[in-house]
Amino acid sequence: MVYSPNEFSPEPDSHVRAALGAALQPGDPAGFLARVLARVDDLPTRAEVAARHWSRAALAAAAALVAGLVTGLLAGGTTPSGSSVDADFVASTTGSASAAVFLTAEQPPDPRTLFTSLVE
Amino acid sequence: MSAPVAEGMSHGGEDDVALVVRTLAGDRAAFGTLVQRYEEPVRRVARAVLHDVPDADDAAQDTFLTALMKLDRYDQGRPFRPWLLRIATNTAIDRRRHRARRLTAPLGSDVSTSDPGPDVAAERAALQERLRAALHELPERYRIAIVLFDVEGFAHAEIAEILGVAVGTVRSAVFHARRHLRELLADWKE
Repeated sequence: MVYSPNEFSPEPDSHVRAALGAALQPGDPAGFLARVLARVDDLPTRAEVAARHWSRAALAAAAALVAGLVTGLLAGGTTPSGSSVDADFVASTTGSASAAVFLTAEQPPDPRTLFTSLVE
Repeated sequence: MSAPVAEGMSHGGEDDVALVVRTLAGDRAAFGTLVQRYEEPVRRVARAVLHDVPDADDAAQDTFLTALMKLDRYDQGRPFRPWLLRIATNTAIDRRRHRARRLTAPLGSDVSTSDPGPDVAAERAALQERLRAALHELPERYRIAIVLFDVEGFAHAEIAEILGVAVGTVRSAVFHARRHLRELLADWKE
């Protein structure tokens, strides 16, 4: 048995075909067919494929929405605090620094202090 | 090894497109006929790409399942076999690329022989083993090209279409594959 392919032949080489074909020849065609057909039963139906596609799209849209909201919240939280601007505005408008402090404070005033000052 | 299947027709005589149409209509038997018709070339191409036999057969199974899922996109005006073998080639290459390197199983336990005498059988088995080893020393493109050209009987242009490369690239790959195989087997003695 000789294996000597002629690389210059423009036609398929019958010796290569016989030798290489035999070397790669699969066996048990019936078993192979049975394995393929068994796996066909596990394939998703077209409706299931479509449902998965749509659910993936819905998940992607929801994720994008959440990401957008989070980004917006983070961006909002990093803007300069409005107190200094507002304080300047109130101070310049009312001419009272204490009014600016009172109106632009982040925490409400302590009622005891407020009412005490009124009583006194 | 059986002779290469005449384009679109073999075994029961029903042409591929008719079987495809019946498969698309849900006829499981028609799909089974397509699998029977093309399991040999698909498995050979998978084995040309993947050294490991079980891995190659898994890739061949995946090929038919992928073909079934994509069957509605098959152009019924074109031959079925190159379309299927393109899927087979891509499936096997993808599998090889995505799998971690692992030890290969010995080949040939299920290689069929035509009941020769013991000496001839041993010699034949040795040559086949040597050929498989030599084949897997070739670059992947050479392996696929020589199997599709010399074993499966595709024309250069058809192989170019299957692999998505130029015809000249295929000619070159077949030439180099043959030469490499000849060199690798130069010390082979009867």
